[in-house]
Amino acid sequence: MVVNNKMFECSRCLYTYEHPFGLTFDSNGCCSGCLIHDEKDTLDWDARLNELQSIVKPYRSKQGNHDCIIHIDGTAQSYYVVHLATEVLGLNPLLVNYNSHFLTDVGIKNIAQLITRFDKNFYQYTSAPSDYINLVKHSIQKLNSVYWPYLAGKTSLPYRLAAKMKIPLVINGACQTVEQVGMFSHTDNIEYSRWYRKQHDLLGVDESDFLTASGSINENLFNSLRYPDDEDINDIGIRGIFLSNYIRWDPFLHNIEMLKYGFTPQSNKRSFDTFENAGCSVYFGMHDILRKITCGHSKAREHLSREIRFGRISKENAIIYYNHYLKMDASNDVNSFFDWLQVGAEGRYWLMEILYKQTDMDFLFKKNSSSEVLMPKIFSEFKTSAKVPVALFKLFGKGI
Amino acid sequence: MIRLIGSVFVQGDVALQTHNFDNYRPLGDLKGVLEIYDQHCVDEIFISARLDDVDSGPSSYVLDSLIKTNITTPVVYSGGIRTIEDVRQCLESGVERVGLHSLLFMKSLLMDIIQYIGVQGVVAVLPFVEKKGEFFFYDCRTRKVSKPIGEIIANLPEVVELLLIDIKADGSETGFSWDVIKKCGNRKVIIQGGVIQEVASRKDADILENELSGVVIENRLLWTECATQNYKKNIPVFMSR
Repeated sequence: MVVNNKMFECSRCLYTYEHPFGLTFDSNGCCSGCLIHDEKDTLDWDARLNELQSIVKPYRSKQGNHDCIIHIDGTAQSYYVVHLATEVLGLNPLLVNYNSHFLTDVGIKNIAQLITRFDKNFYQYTSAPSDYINLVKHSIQKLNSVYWPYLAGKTSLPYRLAAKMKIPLVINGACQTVEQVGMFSHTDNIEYSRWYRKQHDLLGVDESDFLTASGSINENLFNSLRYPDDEDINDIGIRGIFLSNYIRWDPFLHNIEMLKYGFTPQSNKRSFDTFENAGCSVYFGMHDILRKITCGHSKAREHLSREIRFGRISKENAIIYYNHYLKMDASNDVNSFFDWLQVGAEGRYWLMEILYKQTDMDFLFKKNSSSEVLMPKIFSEFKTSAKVPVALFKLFGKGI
Repeated sequence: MIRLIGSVFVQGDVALQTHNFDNYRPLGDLKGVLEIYDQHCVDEIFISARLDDVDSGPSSYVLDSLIKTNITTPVVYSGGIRTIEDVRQCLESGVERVGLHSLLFMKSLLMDIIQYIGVQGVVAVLPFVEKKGEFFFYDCRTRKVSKPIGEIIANLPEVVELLLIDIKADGSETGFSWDVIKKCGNRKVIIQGGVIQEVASRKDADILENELSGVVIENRLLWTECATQNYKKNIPVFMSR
């Protein structure tokens, strides 16, 4: 059906037409994300796994060399992707990380635990903190995003290393455009590409566009965000596959399973999901607040829509929870972020008022009374395992 | 040599993928799709727009996106063109050729447009459905099949290039009804809808080159990295650019 109203909501989940990836709706008002989600219950996943095995077979190293690259960020999904690559597919991945500078002590511990538990080689790229802070400032001003520099770094580093080290296979976990908005069928076997990266991971702005817009990033910093040239990609035959096309992807169940490897969830106040992006200081803080202001929805909406689709929560209850999360106290997260960004009190108010037309400063910068996080019953049993971070912004270190 | 043409469907202000001309999935921003097609050197880009109000002229979203991009690949645009003024607007926005569908039945206006833009600037967009060995024109506006496709082709000026779209195979890798080409005589023909697998496997490249001037690949040029370059590298009938 043709939809013109941006606030038009799916008849099954909480997504609206204004989703930044784009959504289509069938004649019943059901969104493309829900329709593609139904494939999870109809596809032959054993056959899909066999297909995946045959895809990775030619890349499997017989001499013990690295046969693939995986970007990890210490989240539960990183654990699951490494688990699948090593235990199910029998691969020997090189684990890499683009340091977001947003890791809490929980995040740093989770990365260390992952490398140790799976006993894999690890490469981490860390920009000079002052350069990175500068990058984040420009990203906020130009793109309304605190997260763009990290996304640009984490989506280029594995491919740049793949080109440099001649390791043609890069393994990704979930294909978010399939999981969220049903842009592709699982059987389309969509793979990572320059177009996908720019359009869907980087908000339509790649590093060249960013350089043009900001004019202030130096060559080293630019190179640390650079996706390899087509020539390099073609010469080496680099391909980035998404495991979620071949494995029945259920983040909540998979993430719980990762507790067995020593993964630590992190509590947050803006969603019930303490597993996704645990260890990041901005994901449910400043990043989520900007997402709500600029895209119209916060992360909890994605989590709740996902759980509606899996039948673990009703739409009616999801709406109640969503409204609750939107009102949660964000002052600690927001203030800590601006401290890290070295922006004073006046600058904070100016930025939020001028740039984002945000007038509810009490909600952003002052503590309010709502502090108890409501959780759907099925998730509340994992509440106690989630850790409250001691340090929201921790400088690079082992953190153990 | 045969042209490899990338296609994209637009509704409102979103680029879409189509399956069977009926099942739409989001693609995101049109500008991004156009830029990657251009960067990966498709030979032509075919943009087809579905408009809420068919009499409102060409899609302003498409024309605005074209103006904002710096692409050099020739663009064919189809959707909402009703007058010579619409054609002029398209050309000024960077469209190279216009695709005509409903207008094919308005002979005098069709001839006026050909007179204005030149016969090479017009592509006859002919979606079709196969029924019991016969091929029928599919009217995108009414979403119904109408006349036999051969009858429509016979009434078109000889030099107009034809774009034959197999509705049932649209969005697929295989399934195009090749017999429809027999209805086209010696005309220049572009085909779309479930064509790529057979084009890739055909051994008779010379016959294929005589039959076709272009192949439209819908959707899957965006599914893998450097898909266009790989098709061009691995399928000899495609021209290199």
